[in-house]
Amino acid sequence: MGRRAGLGCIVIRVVSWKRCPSPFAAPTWRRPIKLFAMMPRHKRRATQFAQVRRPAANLARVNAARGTVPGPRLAPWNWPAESEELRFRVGDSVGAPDPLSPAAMDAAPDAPMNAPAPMDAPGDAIVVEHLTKRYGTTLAVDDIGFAVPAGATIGLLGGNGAGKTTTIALMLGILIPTAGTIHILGHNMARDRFAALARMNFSSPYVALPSRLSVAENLRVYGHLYNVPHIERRIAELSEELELNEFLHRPAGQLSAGQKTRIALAKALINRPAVLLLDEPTASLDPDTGDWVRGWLERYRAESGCTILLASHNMAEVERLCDRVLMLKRGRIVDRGSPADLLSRYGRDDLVEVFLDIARDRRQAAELIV
Amino acid sequence: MRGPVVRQSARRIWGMMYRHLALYRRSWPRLLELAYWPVLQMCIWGFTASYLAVRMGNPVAVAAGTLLGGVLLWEVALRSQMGVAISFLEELWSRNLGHVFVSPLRPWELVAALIGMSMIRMFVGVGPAILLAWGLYAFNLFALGPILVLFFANLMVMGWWVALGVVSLILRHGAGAEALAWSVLFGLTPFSAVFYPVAVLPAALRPVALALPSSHVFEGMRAVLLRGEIPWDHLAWAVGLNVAWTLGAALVFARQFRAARVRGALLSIGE
Repeated sequence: MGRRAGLGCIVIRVVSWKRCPSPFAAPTWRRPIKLFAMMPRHKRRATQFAQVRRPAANLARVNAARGTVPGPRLAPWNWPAESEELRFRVGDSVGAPDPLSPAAMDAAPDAPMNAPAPMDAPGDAIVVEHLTKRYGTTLAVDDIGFAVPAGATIGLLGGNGAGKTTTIALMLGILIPTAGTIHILGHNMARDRFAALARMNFSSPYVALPSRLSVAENLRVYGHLYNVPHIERRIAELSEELELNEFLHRPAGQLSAGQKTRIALAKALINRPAVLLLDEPTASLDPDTGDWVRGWLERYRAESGCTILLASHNMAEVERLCDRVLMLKRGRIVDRGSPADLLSRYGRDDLVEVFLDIARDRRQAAELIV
Repeated sequence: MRGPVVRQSARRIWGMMYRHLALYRRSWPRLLELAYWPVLQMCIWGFTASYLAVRMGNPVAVAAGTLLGGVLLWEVALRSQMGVAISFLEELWSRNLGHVFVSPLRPWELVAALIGMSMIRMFVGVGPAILLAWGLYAFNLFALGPILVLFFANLMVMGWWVALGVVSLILRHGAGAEALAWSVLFGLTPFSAVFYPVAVLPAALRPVALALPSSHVFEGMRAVLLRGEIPWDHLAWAVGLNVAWTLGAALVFARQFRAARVRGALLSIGE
């Protein structure tokens, strides 16, 4: 299985390489186009607006066609061009029409923020393509796609019912998608989810641990479920790191919300996961405890290089912890980028305002401001 | 390659069993409940059988022995079924299913752990009742001989597949179906020929009774106690029916588990 997946990656890489050669391999007359396509988004945007003014009417037409507020019609995952690898991942190719051009918008008005990441680059811990989840007539997740490089922290932001928890449940394999695929650590979650689950973990305040068991017993149970070697040593390490010692032998149900959050984190880290999914990790915590958890997560990420996907309503938390943010609304990704990108794009000082712009459909105004 | 995989599976199964054992260690009412009902049943039927034996003489005393044997063996099926279903419900009540199903624990490993717990629960529950029958009413269940092991095994397997059906219903209908964990096997008691032979039933109900492994086990038990014969035909039927019903229940469970993953019920399962 692993060998087949590896071979698949190689094939994909070879094909991708043919599709996306280095700009310096392109004929001289095409190099400027390629370089432009590889620019970081905000620079690209500035350059383009300097050249072609997009008429507001065009934007309105696209809005009407999509029925939602559109995101920028760029390649799906708009990483700043930190490396050639990442630049190629965003789906740019030699000779491809500029996706921001009016012609491209006319040709493909629904091109998309929700389009999948085009390929599973070797450094991607998570690759989601065309993910859709429908409950009867309700579309909980609507054709979303993204890729998360190993070691990155990604925030899933959105209001209640935006599809954050559903997306996480789909990624954990506890929910079967209506359409689309999810690869985590190279494993297809539809066919090989247990191999991925052994190397990932999850924490949510909405899923409890058995309350009559002591903290140590709970951790021992999950240590066995994840086949953790030397469980007692691992529990001792986690107790030290997360300051659980004083209530390690007390029933989990008798602890405060802050203590429960620390236990949930300890459970989520018991197997030293390569991918950690956190659903509102600081919900219902007082500011002091919330800050402690955020600080701890920051340190943990820096030390472990763990890939984290974080669903949250707390904008300060997202701004502090996340490299990139996916803004969800009604099951669709309506915008994405680094917190700094989003702030500058919307002309706002904090993510709360950006969140409100998106939640209240003020995006168009923000576009015009830009 | 096979070795580590089996070891890892065994460890996950033990992890789930440890979770329940730790629960019992911390909750004496749960421990008490395991033995309470079988002991109570034994007291009621034991005194009834003693009364009948004293009033009606030796032949009835032998029949009363079959009555006590029936009570004890039926408890084996009942406790096995409840052992699986209630252990599953414990996960649901503690809202822990979300964590369990996002761990590498396979569904069959969960079922294996529930079965392991059911065996422990059954021995802890039925053991005192067997001792009581021997101490108070001089009824020695082990007098049935080595065949008792086969009776036990068949009734335990029957309890497991009924429980798998109950768990499937809980996955389908949520905690609203939890009452079935206690009641469903009681509904099969009239057809299981626990206290009377299948021949007593109306002709229309006999096929129903004969489709249950339990009726063959109890017919077999009576053959051993009353005639001293080992009823191999009944045992063969019981084994065959158990295999068929277990396969059917496993199929239903697998389908309902998948359906629960489609509906998102594993995270939100409740009333």
